[in-house]
Amino acid sequence: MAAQPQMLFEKDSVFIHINVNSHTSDKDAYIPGKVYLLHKEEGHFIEWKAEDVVSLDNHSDQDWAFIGSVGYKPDREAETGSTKIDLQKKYNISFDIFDLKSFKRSAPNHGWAYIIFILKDGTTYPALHFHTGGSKALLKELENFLHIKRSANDSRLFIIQDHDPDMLSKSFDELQLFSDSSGDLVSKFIKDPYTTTLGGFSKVTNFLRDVLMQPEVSVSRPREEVAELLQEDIPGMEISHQDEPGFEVVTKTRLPKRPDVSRATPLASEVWSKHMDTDGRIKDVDQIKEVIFRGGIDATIRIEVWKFLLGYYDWSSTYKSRTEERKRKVDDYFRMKLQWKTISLEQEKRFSLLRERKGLIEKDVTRTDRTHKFFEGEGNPNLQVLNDILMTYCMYNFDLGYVQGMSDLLSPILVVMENEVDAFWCFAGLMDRVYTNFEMDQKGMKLQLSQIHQLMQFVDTELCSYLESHESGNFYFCFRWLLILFKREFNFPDVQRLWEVLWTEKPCKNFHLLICLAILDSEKSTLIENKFGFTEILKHINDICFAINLDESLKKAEGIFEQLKQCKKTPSHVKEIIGLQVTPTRSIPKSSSMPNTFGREGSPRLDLPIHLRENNTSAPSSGSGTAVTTPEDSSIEILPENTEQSVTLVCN
Amino acid sequence: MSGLQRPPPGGGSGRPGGGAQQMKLVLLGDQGVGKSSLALRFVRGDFREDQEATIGAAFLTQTVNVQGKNIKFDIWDTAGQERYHSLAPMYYRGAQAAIVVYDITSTHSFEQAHSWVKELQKETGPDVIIALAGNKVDMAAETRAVMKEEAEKYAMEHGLFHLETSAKTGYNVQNLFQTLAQEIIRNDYVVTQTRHRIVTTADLLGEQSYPRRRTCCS
Ligand SMILES: Nc1nc2c(ncn2[C@@H]2O[C@H](COP(=O)(O)OP(=O)(O)OP(=O)(O)O)[C@@H](O)[C@H]2O)c(=O)[nH]1
Ligand SMILES: [Mg+2]
Repeated sequence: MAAQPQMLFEKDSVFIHINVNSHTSDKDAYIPGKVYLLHKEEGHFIEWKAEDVVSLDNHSDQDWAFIGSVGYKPDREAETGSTKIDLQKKYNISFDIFDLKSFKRSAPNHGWAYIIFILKDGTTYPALHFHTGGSKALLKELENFLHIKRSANDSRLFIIQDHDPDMLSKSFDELQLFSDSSGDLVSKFIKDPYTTTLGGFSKVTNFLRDVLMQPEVSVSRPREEVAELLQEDIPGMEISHQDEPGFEVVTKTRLPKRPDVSRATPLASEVWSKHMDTDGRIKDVDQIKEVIFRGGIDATIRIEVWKFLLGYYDWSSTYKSRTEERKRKVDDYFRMKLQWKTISLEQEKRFSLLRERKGLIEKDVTRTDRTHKFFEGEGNPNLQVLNDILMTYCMYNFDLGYVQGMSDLLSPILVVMENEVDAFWCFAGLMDRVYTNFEMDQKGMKLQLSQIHQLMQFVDTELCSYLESHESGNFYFCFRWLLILFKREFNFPDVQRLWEVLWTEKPCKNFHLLICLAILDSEKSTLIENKFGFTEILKHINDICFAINLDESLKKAEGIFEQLKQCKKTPSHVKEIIGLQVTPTRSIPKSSSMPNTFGREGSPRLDLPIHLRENNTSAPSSGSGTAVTTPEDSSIEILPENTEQSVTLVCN
Repeated sequence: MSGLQRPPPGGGSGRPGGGAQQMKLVLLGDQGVGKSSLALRFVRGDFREDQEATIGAAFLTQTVNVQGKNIKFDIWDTAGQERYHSLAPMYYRGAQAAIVVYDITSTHSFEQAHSWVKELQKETGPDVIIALAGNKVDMAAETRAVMKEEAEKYAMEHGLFHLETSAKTGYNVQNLFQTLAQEIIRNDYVVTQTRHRIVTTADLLGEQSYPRRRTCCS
């Protein structure tokens, strides 16, 4: 077939860092590999291949040979090999350098250099870390083929310039800014920016960006017009302020400078116990929450503190009341578990809804976090626990049932709780906060997407109008972030940290939306300067999971909050979203045991405060409730009256 | 070095590719039938038992050479559960081809496939090529629930092309995509840009019925 590829560059000791989802520590795992620049028949390719298995205790014997070969698109049809090797293969990289759109380099003071390659279609590869140098040499080699330019806005970002001479004129034509009809647009814009549509407006800025970034290209169009446009304050896109209402969208109010905020160390065990009085009551809830917001929770006490954050225990509870509460919860859990456990196969045949849900759950359980230690391996008993909790949740909240994404939310909780009953109730507490994400009408999701839009419109008009003019004004690329609270974007320790921070509801309501803004702010140059559209944006955002710096994002998000708080012109609808306009008339129900993060005006609060729910179900059923660790509930005779109850549920 | 002469590959910002014809393809079908697995088998030649459920949508690309022509597939892999059905139009709008996947071990997934076909035929133009893929055929011996003949009959009646596949073994996966590519070439589609409907936030907040609604723009 093809002639032997020609090796133009080769460098070993180039690592991809993956965070192994170990539930005890978050040590990085490095996959060592080699980088190549190859000249193949089809073109020039950059490739990275894993060399060996590291720190994943390996049995990497067989099956590795083909990785070394060059035409390495594995064409083997048969399924082979251990999952570890699969895991590594997953990271192998190969792309045609003409598909390259840009790359990001590490900051100069970073320990060693790394490069993140980003393709035209939005594909974003994991960072390649050059532990023993060589990144410069590779880039030098690349420069023989590509015209590379540093971004004006982000010194770490480099853009590949298009070689196709048609390309620029084409984009001019596409924009048609100066054709008869849209020349109009420009003059309109200059004379009266307020009546120019936002779409037109972003067209103009796109055009200007092209001009600014490609100054060497001769423009045959009237220079004066361009120059005139350039007079405007382009970077901030600030248009002289006007009080006329209704044009808020175009006008950018300059926010105060984003303050630097700092993070702190996690809530430590000693501090936690100091905050309890002799009866075990938490003395200063607000202060504890502040500490958790600022630094998270030490892993050793997470198992306890989460129960407070998730409404399992009330903050004002005592040691004694907690013991009782827990007992009640154990009973209640097994009562509900029995409801579905006692449905016979015969019954199930006539119970399609339950059957269907059972099927859905089964399907998802087998593919939830299977690379995590806690769930890995065939027949891992923890999968059964995951399954049982989700089935029981179906009984607990039959109207909602099971929706994809729930298993993602449960998994980190189960890993922390390591106990079926506790995990269930904590999960139920989490679901109380986010259930609207999963409702049939998807109202909760839609509301949040539109809230991000509104926030972005005010905080970063430029990025907002860029996204709008690139078919992304619906912010659908944030869907996964919102639905499962960034669960797929970070490794386990980071997810746990992020969640506990969010659960404090500090510094404001809907803080997770500000985190979305913060992450997008970090990606802004990449999105805009690569001129990404709908598909590329979605792919890029999907690909940067595990490459987002949590601490930086949290700091930035808090910074944005401070800006919004300090800014005198923050519009009321924006304030409303993050709960800045606290109306003293609104009474806040019972401490913070049942916060409704996604509550929305005009719709009833559907979630029951937890004490209400308890009252509903608290008449303790029989059973001693000592069996805390997953028992085999095969003894079905215990609760005949409860089977009846399950029937009532269904008839509702 | 002849590298520079090579026409730039397609894709990127909806510009027409000089070298490859772009083809937007969408994968639809019930939860867990193997849409993501099929896409990954095709793009990476790989199968992972622990492939996570898709949340939202994933986007993959792969270029294949058919009869000397490069076809670049832009593949939209969607989430299967009914609940997320309303997102689907955003992804199938403007597609040149769709693969409706069902699981040969589940009659329910086959019924779901019917409704996807119906929706596609109603909501998209007549020149959208629809393939019906009966996946997990490696499990046929033990747990087959949908007969091949039945599916073929259905496909014939609805003008679809049908294949049984296995993402696990790779059986018929290349075949599936190659056939679609050939079909595209045969029909001589010239795809100039990705056309997908712009869904605005207003849309999202508005009527619930919009997946069923006939598109008003583009
Ligand atoms: N035996 C067998 N199993 C398969 C095959 N394809 C997929 N699976 C398994 O079926 C399950 C679901 O596969 P996915 O590819 O995630 O299904 P999907 O259609 O993308 O599902 P959603 O993303 O939830 O809509 C996984 O556990 C796969 O391992 C196949 O050809 N044979
Ligand atoms: Mg999938």
